[in-house]
Amino acid sequence: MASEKKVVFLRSSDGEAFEVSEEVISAASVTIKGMIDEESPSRADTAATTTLAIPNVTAATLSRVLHYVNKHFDAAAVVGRPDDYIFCAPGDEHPLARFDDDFVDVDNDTLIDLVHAAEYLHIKKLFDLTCKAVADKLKGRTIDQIRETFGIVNDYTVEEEVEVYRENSWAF
Amino acid sequence: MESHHSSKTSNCGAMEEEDRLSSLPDDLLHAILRGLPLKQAVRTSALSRRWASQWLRALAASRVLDLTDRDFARGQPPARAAATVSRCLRLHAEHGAPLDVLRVALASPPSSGAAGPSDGSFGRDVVGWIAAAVRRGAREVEVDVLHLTAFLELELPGDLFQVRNSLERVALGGLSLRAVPLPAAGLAGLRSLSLSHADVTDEAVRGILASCGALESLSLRSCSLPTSVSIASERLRDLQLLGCRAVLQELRVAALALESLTLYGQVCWREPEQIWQEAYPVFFDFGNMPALRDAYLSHVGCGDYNIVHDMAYPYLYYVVAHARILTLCSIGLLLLYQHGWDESAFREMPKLEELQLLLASPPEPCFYRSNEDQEHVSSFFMLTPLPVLQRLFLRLPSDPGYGWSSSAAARDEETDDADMTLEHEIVLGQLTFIKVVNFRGTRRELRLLAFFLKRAPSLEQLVLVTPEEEEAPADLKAMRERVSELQRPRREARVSVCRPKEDDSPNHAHTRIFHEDDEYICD
Repeated sequence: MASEKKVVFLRSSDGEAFEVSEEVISAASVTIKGMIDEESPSRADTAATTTLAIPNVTAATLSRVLHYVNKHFDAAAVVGRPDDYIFCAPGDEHPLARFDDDFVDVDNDTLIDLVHAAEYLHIKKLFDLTCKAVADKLKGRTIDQIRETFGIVNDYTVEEEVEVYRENSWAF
Repeated sequence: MESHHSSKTSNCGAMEEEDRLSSLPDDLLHAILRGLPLKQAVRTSALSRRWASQWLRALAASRVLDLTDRDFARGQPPARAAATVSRCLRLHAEHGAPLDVLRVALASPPSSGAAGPSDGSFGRDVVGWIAAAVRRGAREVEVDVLHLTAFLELELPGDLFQVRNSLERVALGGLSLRAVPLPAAGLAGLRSLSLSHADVTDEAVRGILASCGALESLSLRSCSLPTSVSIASERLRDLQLLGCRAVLQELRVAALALESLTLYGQVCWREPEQIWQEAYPVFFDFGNMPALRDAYLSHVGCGDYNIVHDMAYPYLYYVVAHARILTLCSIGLLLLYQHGWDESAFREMPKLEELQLLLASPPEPCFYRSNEDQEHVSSFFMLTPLPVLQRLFLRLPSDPGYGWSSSAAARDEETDDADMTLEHEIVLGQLTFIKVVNFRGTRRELRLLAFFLKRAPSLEQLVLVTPEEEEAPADLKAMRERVSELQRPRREARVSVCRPKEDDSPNHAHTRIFHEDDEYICD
């Protein structure tokens, strides 16, 4: 297809529609690529744009995801365009490392929304990034600190808790 | 920016926030847990019931099973560790995920001293793990039961490697291939093999090399070698002989493609078979190695060396003379010095760019006069042209040993502040970077440093790093003062004195220092 500017609309669970390049989102999301491929026979010749419902993702999360997708999967953006957003030190291994760090520097709820969205949309790079970011929030913290950070309720009985510590004593 | 979920949770009216992390489905939780080091992941078991065995199930769903955490092996009875490994592999098989890598290390806790009564029963477990991993298509298997005190060496059954498999990398510690008939079809795809603490016969070495046509890396650690070892391979790129017990008579290496050579320990003299027999030197024969890029030759910390019996050692310097990156030790320089009857023992190292010199405390009794104690070092630099040397790393002993430390002050007085002198002067014209590790600022050290500073007119940076854990924090200020008194070749040269954790300057390519490695510290 010659027209390179083809776009699709994604409608969030709360009804907001977002425009994104079909090429970019197809490269990023296995799930949406699947949806587009399914739709395509019916719209092969039309100029009408497609709107896809993304029922599991809210507008707030979807807009974040698309921000990420446009940064990482739009070849033109990554290579050419001068960008005020990305500043990379000469030593950075990945030009988007700084962007990624900032991207996941969010509160726990937002981060977990992103994990869910990345999983549902099947965007592997984003899924790995967000899971690692959650893991980093667990790292180097005490059990009590983790419970407090994530609101985890200790439902062990005293006996059970003693047993867990005994069984895994080497790690404590 | 926005926290659109707060409204949702506030409806609950509970004082606890919704625990969205624990509510994640298992596979997402596992993906998160796999991003943690094993120990951290195991700790999450204490969070709540939801988390009790998630770490294990996360592992069991992973392509890589790595249970080599030092504390996993040493911080619990080996029976419990072994049970966890077995359970994990069982879960893994049930889960049906592909298995690429299995790495396990078991050890008896140091406190247990003698062998636990049940240690011996792990033998079958260990063999079972390896067999399961091989059967399930693992590319890499690393099993170390070296520190399990019950068996000296566990023999792997002969049929383990008879069928073709996906293995590419195998590392075995305390396990022997003796009962495995060689050549073995199951080892044919190996690119890397590491054996430690095993009896390795010359026949076995030949059998392995014949079995593994694709082998690129061979490492023998603390093995008993036979009287004669011959390593001949067209493909081998990396060879390591580490702390092997020397019953060697000859060592022949014919490896045209070799890029990296590591010889650590007493590979160079033969232990007498009988107490009354004299030890004598090993015969070395290294074929042409045009691709050799780096070599590590060290004798430090391996028990006694003997000036007579290590006669063959200088030959090794000749073998590695064309490398770009070298680690050498002061004992080697001493042997070279003692055996360099004439200057022909010293050869140019025309490509050497990066040299790390491991300095050992002079042994007792000292067979040279005290003011000669650094002559072997200075002689090496005087007699070995190093036309392209750019970076020099001097690694002093990590413990304040005899001879280098300030506690040997008396000796320091006696040796005076006399400079190290040379019969004929040299210039290390391309040397731009010097780093000294474990620097305490004793006079002896300063003298050594002055020796290099004087001969490095292009020096751009000098980094002095103090020892790791000084009881009293090193007095950096005093050190800086002492260093600043030294004659600096160029005013512009940057000088820094710092603690290890403050050091962000480049390191030598060889970062693993075997004589500081627990595994090789002799008792």
